[in-house]
Amino acid sequence: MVKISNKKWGLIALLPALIVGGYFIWGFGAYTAYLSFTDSTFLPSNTWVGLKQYRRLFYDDVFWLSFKNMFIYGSLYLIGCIVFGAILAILLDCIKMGETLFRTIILYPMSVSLIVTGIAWQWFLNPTSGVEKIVRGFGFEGFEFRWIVDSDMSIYVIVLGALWHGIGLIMILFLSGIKSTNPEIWHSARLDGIPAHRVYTGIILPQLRPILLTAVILLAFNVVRSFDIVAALTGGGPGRSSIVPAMYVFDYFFDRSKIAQGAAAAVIMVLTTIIIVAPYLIHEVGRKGDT
Amino acid sequence: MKIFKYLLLTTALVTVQSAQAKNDDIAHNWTTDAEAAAMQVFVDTFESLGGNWKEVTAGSREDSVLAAKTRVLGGNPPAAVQQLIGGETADWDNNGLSANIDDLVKTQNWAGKLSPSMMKQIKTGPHYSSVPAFLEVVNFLYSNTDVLKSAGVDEVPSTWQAFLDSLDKIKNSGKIPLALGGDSWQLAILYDHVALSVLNGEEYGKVIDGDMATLNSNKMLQVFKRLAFLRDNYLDVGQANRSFPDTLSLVVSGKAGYNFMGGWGAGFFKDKQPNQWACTITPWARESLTLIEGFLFVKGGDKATQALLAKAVLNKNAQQQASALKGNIPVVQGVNMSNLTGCSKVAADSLKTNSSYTHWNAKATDNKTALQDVLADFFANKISAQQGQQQLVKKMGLL
Repeated sequence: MVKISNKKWGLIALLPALIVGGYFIWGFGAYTAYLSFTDSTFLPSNTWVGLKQYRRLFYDDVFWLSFKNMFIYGSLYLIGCIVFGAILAILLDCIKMGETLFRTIILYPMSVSLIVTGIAWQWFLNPTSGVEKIVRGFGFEGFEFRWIVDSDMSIYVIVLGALWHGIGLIMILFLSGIKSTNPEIWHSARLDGIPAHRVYTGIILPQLRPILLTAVILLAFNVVRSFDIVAALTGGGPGRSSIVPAMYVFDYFFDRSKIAQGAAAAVIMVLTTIIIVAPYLIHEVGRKGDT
Repeated sequence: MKIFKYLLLTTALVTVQSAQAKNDDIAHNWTTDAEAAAMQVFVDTFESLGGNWKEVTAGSREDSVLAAKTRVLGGNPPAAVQQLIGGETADWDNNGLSANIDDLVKTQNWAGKLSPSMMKQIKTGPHYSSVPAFLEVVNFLYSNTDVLKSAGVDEVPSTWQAFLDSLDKIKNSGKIPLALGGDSWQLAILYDHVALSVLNGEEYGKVIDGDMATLNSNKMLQVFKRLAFLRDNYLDVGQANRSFPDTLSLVVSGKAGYNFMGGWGAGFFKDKQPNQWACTITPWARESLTLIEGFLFVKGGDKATQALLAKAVLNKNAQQQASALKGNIPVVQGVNMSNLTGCSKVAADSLKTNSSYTHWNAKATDNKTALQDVLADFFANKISAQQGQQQLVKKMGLL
């Protein structure tokens, strides 16, 4: 019998997944990229038109708006989730009692689907049925909170809903990272007289760089593919002011039967993601060689 | 024993496979109460004619059509797909995905059953490809008569000016005059009624078909001015983000006076007394905007099934029963419509006095999305009537 090492068994076990993944994800992705160079509308066609669809995107205001929205929403969501997630994790690490209770409360929104999140926040933020009405009911007659019906502010409303949903996961990631650090650090810190907040910022958080990498990647993917929360919260509105690239692609693929234009937008989405995430990924993974 | 089980499983799989391969199933989305009951009438007629009914359903028409399109591309088409006959079936025709049923139309003598204008409307491509099932009237005005009365409006207004006056009165009584939602299709439904207050049916159709002369006319500017007037004075602050059920509920619950919506809105009022609400076809117009619901026959689908389906759908008895159950108007001439009640009766009666024109939902996809995009921008960014008209001209010109 030929002796096959564990490593080779591992490769053999992964092979079906690699083949299936490669065909369905990368193969179909390549087909989508191919379609973006054709004139497909209602059905896929094979007529090559070069960069015509990309030129159409270039001249479409709504397409540029969708990317601007994705960057605003993405950066606020990323920074917000990581900063608030880290702060909550540190706070949870500090308290002695009630940790499980607070952890459950903060993590609970994650169990709600993004569609339900969107619908609930839509009711919550609608001026006639939500926050504005409640606060006015308390007697503050002049209170206004109308972001959701304001074209300029509607994208920030998406940030609110998404933050509410996403902070829990990031908090848990950081918390597990903090708890796995060496407890001896605290003894040495007390001996040296270092205050607790300096221990966190100077020693523990820097050790959590791999967790930060995981968090950033998870959040970045959430941002790029966010369609459900936008569809449920604002429907891309008012008008088209809160549209995001995923919605634009879906719109052109299905509602408007312009497959090639949707494919071109999808290709640009993927390229944007790669351009942003890849350098960070390479930098972080490359570092592993140092430690 | 194990071998026996595996044999059984394989046989089952093969049978399922070959049933699919026969391409004799019908794709539709008539799954909710009234629609399912209406569909059952067609199913019973189909089977009494000797057919074996097979179907595949989905939750919404978009899902059902998309699934059918995917199957066609995969080489395994259904026999028929339930659709709105118009722009979308034209897409199927122009891409060579629909079956040519010209000989079926002759042998089953459709011309003897359907009106000449219906025969014209269902031919959306180079040949016949769909059978109509129901006619829907879309331009309804729903009013909460309690709200109207307490504002001093005695009856649903019958002219545009009377409508504006009643809006003022309702506003003064503290209620929302006009309930409107945020989706661009809801804005387009409001557009229907405002357009018909200025344009006639032919001009309405010309606008959506992209006729530059009509789009650039003063009449079109007047339509946008009236839309702007409504937008700036009679809506409520939650309009931009509201779904259509929430919007219609404002009228049902007495918080708003009016809502413009399609015939499907009638069901929302089922818990109210008949004297508390009213449904009227655009009071200031002599036009009924119609949609034809029917079945598109797919190329490669089983021909016998297609013939039987056409026969079942156009059967006079089936038409009478199904239309009453679904609340729509039968398409076959001479069908007894005395079973139609409520708003469906209002719709049927309107066809006796009004001329009917195709609603934008049955027009070409590009045209209706152009109109909806401009309206979405118009309402969200409060642009002027001139700018709105120019944008529509520009978008239609690009098509």
